[in-house]
Amino acid sequence: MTRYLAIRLALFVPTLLIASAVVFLIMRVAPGDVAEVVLSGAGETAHDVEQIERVREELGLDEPLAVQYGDWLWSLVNGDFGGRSFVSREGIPSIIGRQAPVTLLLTLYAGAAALLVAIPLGALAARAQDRWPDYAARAVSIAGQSAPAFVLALVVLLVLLIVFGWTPPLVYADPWEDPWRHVRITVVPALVLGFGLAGALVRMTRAAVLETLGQDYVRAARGKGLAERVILFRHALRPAAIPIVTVGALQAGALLSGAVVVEVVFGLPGLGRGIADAAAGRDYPVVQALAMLLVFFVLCINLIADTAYAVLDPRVAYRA
Amino acid sequence: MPRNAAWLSGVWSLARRKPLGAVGVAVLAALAALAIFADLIATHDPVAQEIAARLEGPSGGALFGTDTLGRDVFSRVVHGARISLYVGVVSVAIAVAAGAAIGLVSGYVGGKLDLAIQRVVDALLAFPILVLALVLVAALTPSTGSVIAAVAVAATPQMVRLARAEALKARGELYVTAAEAAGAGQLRILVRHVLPNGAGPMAVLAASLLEQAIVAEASLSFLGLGAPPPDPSWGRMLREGTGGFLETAPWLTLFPAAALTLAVFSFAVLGDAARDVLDPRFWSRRG
Repeated sequence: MTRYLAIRLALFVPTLLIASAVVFLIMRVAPGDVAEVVLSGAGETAHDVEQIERVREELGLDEPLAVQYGDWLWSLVNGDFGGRSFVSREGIPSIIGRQAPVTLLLTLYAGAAALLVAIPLGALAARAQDRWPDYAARAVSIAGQSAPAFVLALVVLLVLLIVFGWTPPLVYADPWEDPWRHVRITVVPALVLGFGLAGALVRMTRAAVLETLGQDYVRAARGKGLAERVILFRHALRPAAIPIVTVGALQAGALLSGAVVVEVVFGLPGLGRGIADAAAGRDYPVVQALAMLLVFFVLCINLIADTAYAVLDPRVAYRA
Repeated sequence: MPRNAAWLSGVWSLARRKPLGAVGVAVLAALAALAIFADLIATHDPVAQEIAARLEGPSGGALFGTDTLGRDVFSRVVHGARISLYVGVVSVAIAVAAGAAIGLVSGYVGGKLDLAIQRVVDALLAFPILVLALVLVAALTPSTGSVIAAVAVAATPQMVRLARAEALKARGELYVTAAEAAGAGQLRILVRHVLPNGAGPMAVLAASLLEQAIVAEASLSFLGLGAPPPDPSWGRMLREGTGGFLETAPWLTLFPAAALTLAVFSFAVLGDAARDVLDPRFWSRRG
């Protein structure tokens, strides 16, 4: 187990390093003068030579590429995250401190809601194969996979507005400052975001439980006269947990992609909206830093999933 | 039975066993027709503005109403199919070709090359697909070509991973050993023997990539990072329909949203059906 986790951890750092090189190179091989692009993105039209020089120096563009990369990498490690925004001039650490909790809470709620609904629904669908609960679950699954998060978000917003005359609060509040406002503004986006994840999870849970329900040990449990509920949730669901964890972890990226657009639709000041705004404004330092942070989150979720496998199925760790 | 009829009855029995997949194919065919014959189907010029007739609800004259600049929403939705499918198909074609080539070579050659390629793929797969596309688009000048390039790059790693797995699986197979013994060159083995054997799973992934690419294009356009206006992309229409007009002009949101959802839904069910049909167990079950 220790060895298995050590290997996973050892792969974590190089992957993050290569991802950082990818982000850095994409930003630097961009056609045109980065300094001019940055200035035009900041909405400044008069590009005098002095201004361009200042930006060039601040970005470190006068240094060789390798030095620039090294500096940036070091700034990621020492918590400077590449300095400050070109548009707002705000320090990137403060931007992250403001935005990261929003996105983390949103995706946490979405993930929790999806798991709570999808796993029982998937298990019940498998139990009732080809009867109406199964069709209902499959419909949910297909709908969850078909409606892109931001389209669903817009339509839900529209329905809430027109049918119920309800709009979420305009300004976000942290849970520790105004819990009720926090709930009101996050509940709809979290459910919208969770719906897509639930679609994938229902489908996987159903398939995995169908597989385990056909096993001999389930027949043995039934022979012993155990209650169906116990058989389904204890005997059939637990071995099915491994494929479910795999799918769940693979969806982490999709969940964060969804968070980008959902945050924009609902006006949540999270990392997703942050990176979208930064990309639109060519705010390169912010785009780089936030992209790295999101990759870091995905890798952490993968690491947690890898650990979960080893706990759920000790054979995984032995094979490594 | 004549050959055509046999083929048709085969299609029919497949459609009966996979009704949802058949619906997906039918909807995609309809969307493709919209895209190809957009100029004939659209009732108006999709970019012609008529300020006097702005924000009019759906009616006989403008089936889906008009937008903030008085443009015909129906015609824009129809033309939007063209952009959406064009970006989706071209970027996925690039991703499939590049991913298959890199993945097959990586898996078949193995060794240090494989190790290096796979570490890069690991890193790329750690990016949420939209985030990678955002980073790429931010670095490029805004154009349809940039969107295609960004989506293609973001979609490629998944195909590399799959093609590599197929090549690894094939490496120990008898048919590859036989081809080697017969003196076939490595390139020939990869293209003529390994590739066709992995084509099934790769086709299934391609359907899923098309779904992801269409969502990514729409998302980028929605975020204002897609092809520049006035091209009527569904994502851009949704962006333009939401700023304060959600309540007063819901048709600006509902019609492009429905079109986009329909496209994503068809690729999703098509991919599911293809997965089942390409699974050998499907054919042994009588149904």
